[in-house]
Amino acid sequence: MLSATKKRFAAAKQNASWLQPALLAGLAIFSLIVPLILGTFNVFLATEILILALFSVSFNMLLGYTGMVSFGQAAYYGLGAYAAGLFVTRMGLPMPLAFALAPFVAAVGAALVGAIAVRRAHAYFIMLTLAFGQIVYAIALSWYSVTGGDNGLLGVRPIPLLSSPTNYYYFVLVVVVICLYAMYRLVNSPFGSGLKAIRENPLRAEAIGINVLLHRWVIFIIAGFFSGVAGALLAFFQRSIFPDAALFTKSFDPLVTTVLGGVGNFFGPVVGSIFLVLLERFVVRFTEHWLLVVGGLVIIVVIGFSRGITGFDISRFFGRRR
Amino acid sequence: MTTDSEILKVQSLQKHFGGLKAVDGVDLNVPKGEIRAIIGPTGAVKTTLFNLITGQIKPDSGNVSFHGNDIFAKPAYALCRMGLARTFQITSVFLDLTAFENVQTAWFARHGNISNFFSKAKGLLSDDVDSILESVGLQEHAHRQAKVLPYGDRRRLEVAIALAAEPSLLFLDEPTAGMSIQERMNMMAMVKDIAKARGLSVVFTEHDMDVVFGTAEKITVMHQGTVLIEGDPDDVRANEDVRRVYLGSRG
Amino acid sequence: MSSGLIKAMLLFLIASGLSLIWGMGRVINVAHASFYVLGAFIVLSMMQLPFDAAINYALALVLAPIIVALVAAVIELGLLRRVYHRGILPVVMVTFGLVFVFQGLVRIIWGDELHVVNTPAFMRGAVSLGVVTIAKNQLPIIIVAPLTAIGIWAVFYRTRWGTLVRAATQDREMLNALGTNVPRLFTVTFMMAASLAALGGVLVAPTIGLFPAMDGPLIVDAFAVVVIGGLGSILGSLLAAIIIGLVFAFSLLIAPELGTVLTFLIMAVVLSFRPWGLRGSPE
Repeated sequence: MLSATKKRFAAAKQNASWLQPALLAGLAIFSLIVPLILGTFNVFLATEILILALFSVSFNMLLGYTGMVSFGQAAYYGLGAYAAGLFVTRMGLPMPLAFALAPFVAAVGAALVGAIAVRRAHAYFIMLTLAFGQIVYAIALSWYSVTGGDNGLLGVRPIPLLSSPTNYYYFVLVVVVICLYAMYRLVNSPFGSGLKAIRENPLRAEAIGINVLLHRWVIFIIAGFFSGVAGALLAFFQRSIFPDAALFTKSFDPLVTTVLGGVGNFFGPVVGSIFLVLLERFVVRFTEHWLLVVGGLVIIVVIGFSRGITGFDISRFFGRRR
Repeated sequence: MTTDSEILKVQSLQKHFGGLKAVDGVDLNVPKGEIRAIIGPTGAVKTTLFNLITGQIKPDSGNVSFHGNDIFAKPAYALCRMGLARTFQITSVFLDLTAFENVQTAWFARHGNISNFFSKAKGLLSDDVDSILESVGLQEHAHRQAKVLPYGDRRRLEVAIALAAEPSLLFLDEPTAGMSIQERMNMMAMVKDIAKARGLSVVFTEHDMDVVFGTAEKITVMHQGTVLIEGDPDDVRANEDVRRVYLGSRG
Repeated sequence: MSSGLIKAMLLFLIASGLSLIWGMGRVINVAHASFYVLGAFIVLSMMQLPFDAAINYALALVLAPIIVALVAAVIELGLLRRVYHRGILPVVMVTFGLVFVFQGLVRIIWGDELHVVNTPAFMRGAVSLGVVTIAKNQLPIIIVAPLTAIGIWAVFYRTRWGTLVRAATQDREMLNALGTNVPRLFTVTFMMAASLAALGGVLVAPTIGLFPAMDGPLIVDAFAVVVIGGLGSILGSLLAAIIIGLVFAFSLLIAPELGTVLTFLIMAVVLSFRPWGLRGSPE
């Protein structure tokens, strides 16, 4: 019965190709008027969703488009956040400059880790990215004099113009839309075609003339860059950064939103982000065990509904069991 | 020294896997424009030989030169850009992409577009891609996903992807594997036409002797990791050693 | 120094099982350290039983691994088996989800605060062994872990079952073709791996404060041990665990986080130059 329902849903989606652009347009319009129609609390919520969406889409460039599973994207998210915060608080840089530079710090981190990690087979890539995430977390936690350790880095202020929730929300909206557009162009470019080929069959991709290692390294850096943008946005949103921005559980967030929303669709992670943040708000009213719910939800989705909300089987390109 | 007419020159190529001498001193010279078959009782050796030359496996020792350039142990993507393309025994097309996208991506990779981050890929260079699809007879299926194509069409797509590299030398590893007799004939006729039309040199491995003798201009017979004999089809067919080792009672 | 040794032994108990199931079934169980956590919390509760503390502990030593093995069986048979055929990623994601499910359940049952195990009398205080002084609560792991290691080695190399497992880590399909019920072998191996991790939890519990999220740092270290030691190798896990334990002890003198960084660096170096680890085989 379940599979019959799934089939009907999939068929309906196939026939309604106008659906996605319409939904997107609706979402775009809605996002423009959020501060006007909803209260401050919901503006905060929407800001959170946007930041998570950016982080998730950058993650999906690795997962959905290139077939790379990184369990350590929180490292670059954290690096972006801490870099932005430290530039402003310790080095006294003006916020715009700090914000502009922070993602490059994240990108450098990604370049270094990627240089080692992308050479390795899948399972080891996962290990290495996870391990680096732990390192960033450990350093953030313990380098008290610089990062404030567990007490966090405080007083990370945006410029006065962006200090109100509404203004900051629009700032985040603009940044996220620009970044999403850039990533959209990227994955639909010839370079993106190369990524998809690598995802489908790395050996064949190599044989048709694609330097697979180089491509993987480049996309890893780009994903790290945009994760850093998300982190920088977070820093000025929260006005503070704590080590848990780099904790490996944070690396789980984009994975969850992407799986829930659908790996094969560019906007899948966006949908998943909306769903996840709203679900969390809902669930935490009844229980403090949100992570338990998320964990359970992921297990159910992976086992039962491999296609996510927007519909794409994630397991297809990870090969049949050897 | 390679003469002008030799497109591929392999000398004393060796690969051992632990104690197993898979390829044990193979010499192979392919002149320009020739259609060469490599046959032998064990399939694994032929595929290994291919993999050694086309960059999937690193040889232990020997010389390989292509158009006079040394290509020993060069990575596969570099070879492709030099004009050496191959197909695989197990169909290795990009299943989730359409036939068009399969060939287009290969075209991008070869012609330098692959580092283009900005242009929209859709419809880019479609004339070139379409003409390749036409030459293998897949133009009707251009916008269907590779995974829904029947097996025979996927094998043709496999060849199309290799052609997108505009190679001067084409390696085909068991191109007709799994096909019916008629499909095999059609496939090899197609290969022959394309090769002659584009001035391609072709090296292929094959089990089916009818296909081999019907298509190849010259045959290299391998046995136990080395070349047993090389010659044109009639000579090979008549050779005593070959009959003993390989053709058995069929002759 | 002793804490480095203890860490080494705990890592060995966790990583050796992880290495086996990874090598044998390509299953990366991100939730493997959760079995360790379960073991530790089970002993926490068992110490509340109305018997003599030493008896409670002895019971825990025996029962916790068994209970956790059963939990592992349920997970493997009920959840993991449904996703094997879909490749590495779905399996990893299910186990990643399990990490949070376990943490949540532990939180619900035992609570989020730091817990201390009620230790039996013989584990209180310290004992001096010539040059070194060790806390008596470290005795269980120091004594039992090496014995377990020997036991594992014996089972692995001297029993038929161990031979089958070793064969499975080399070539699963072949073993299946030869008639062994490999899926069942894997389930049993999975259960054993879980009970080893749980045993580690029971042994280490008296020496630390327990909290639900304590699997975090350990699972990353366990992965490092598996990578450095080589997939599917017990001896490799042992050697690698000792190395990481030493790194940990060394870094305590300078900065604890240095341990994490060094572990990562060693792992990166191993993966760059000898990806099959100390005792694995190049594939």
